[in-house]
Amino acid sequence: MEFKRYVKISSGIVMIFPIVLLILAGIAWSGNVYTGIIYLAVAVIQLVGMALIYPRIGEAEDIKEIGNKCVQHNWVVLSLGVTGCAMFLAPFFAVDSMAIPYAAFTVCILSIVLSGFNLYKAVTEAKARLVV
Amino acid sequence: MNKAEVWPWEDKFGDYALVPVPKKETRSLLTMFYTYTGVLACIAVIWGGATLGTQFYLKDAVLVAVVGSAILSLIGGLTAPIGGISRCSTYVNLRPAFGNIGSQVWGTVVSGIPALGWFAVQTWLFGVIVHTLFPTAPWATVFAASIWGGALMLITAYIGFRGLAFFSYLAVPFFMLLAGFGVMIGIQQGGGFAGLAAIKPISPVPFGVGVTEVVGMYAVGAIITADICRYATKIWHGAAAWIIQLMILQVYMLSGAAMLTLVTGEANVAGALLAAGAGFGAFLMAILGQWSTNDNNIYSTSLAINLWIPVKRHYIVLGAGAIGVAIAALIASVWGTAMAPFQTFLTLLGKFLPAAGGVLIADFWLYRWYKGERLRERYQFQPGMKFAKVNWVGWVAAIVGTILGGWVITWGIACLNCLWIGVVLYIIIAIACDKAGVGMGVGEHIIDKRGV
Repeated sequence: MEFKRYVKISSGIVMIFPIVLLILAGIAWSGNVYTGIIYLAVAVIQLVGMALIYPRIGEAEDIKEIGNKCVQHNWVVLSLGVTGCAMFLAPFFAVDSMAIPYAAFTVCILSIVLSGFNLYKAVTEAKARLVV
Repeated sequence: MNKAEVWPWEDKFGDYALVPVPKKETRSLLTMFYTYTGVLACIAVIWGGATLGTQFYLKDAVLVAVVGSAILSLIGGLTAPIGGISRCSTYVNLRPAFGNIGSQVWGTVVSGIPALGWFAVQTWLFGVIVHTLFPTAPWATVFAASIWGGALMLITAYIGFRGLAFFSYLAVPFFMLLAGFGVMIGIQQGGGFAGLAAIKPISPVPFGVGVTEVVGMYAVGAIITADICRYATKIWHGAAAWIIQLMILQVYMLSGAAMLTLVTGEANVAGALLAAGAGFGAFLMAILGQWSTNDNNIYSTSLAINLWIPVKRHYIVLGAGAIGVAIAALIASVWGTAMAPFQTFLTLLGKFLPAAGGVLIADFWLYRWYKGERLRERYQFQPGMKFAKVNWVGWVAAIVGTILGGWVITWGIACLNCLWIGVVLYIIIAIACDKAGVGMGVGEHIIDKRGV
């Protein structure tokens, strides 16, 4: 598959995870507004961070340039995913039950896996640098 | 033809320690931002914010953080473009203003040794925090945690700039979110913003004292910005990244820590976060925060020492790192000696840096302008270039600036006084020498293609 197309599709899939987190944030908000804000922060940064890749690669033709941009945006998602995994199972997030934290944790794991794979693809296929 | 194609240097010591970074190795604004923020994101800054929380009402604490950060932005905003233009580390950039021997001596005394010392202090602090979080675990004694923590921190510094930047990509968002977590806990337990704003500080101090604390906390970082931004793709990237991280993230972290302390009365933020239910996040905050800062400390040490010990830079990281870890593990925990005298010594050495930074700023921005050099032509080092062995004007300005600003003048912010006196003295003496036809340099040194 052409790399640019792959980036567009995989970015779209990655964006599903923060959208799920947004929903969880909405649910958590009613129980404890402060935990809701943290869910919201993670979700919004991941979502905006990933969405911005579309206009940035829109005009780009050079595969390495696309790869470098792919690396930048997927780093944002990956590092926020790691943050979520480390935080969401903490006692502070257990408002009524642990169902929402576990769901958020799972979503973060998925975002780490896919964004990590995107980094791998960008480095191996587009010859991008891991630190751009 | 781009700069990479006419790069006449040989990177003998690795990571472009003594030579300009070639164009093809430069990195984006985002990387500059992450790497600087990685330095900022440490427990010490959070503790600095916690101290503000014991000294000021919330509104004043935020104002102190803004004013202090603005001053640091100005200093870093002047030093970062120097690295962006020369693409060399701070210590190489000191050559024109201090001479070749001057750059070795001043680089080592004002940054190499203090950065190594602070590496030891931060490693020890890491051990203390881990021990606080896990008081009964055998792997979490101050001694053990200092050793394995210090070893972890050396990994990324050993790799070099790529290692620092890579780790910052991982650590920075985490640290920022966890600081946000602290803010949330503070607001929640403080009964909202209105409740927080009404909490009385337990040890109030004047406004200026708070600003001095904020500036002093990061003044060294503001002067050695070139160590990182020599890798910037564009000249303005370093300054922009530096200013953004200070005016947004430093203010945010200091204010967040101050909120948490106002509410809990607890200056140990990691402990407060653990008590408030941050769980594993508090532990990771200690590890990632200290790591992403301390690897930069030992990295700067290696760059400074590489000027007079011409071996592979990563050997210096290992050697200096081993000394730092030994200090942290042995002096602090096994021998039971408090770190206070050691920190006093480091603070003393650190007093010389602002004046040296002032000389660097004066030489690059003012003296070169006076001499009619165009901005992009300044500090364009080439093999075969001649430098004085000692530029006595730089030495005099830095020493007198330090003495006057650090000890004689008792008003204002000490490190800022050192800096502006260094600037004023250097430019006055240098222009006077130029008008009178008096030489500023003693001896001559020619750099080779290795940058030695």
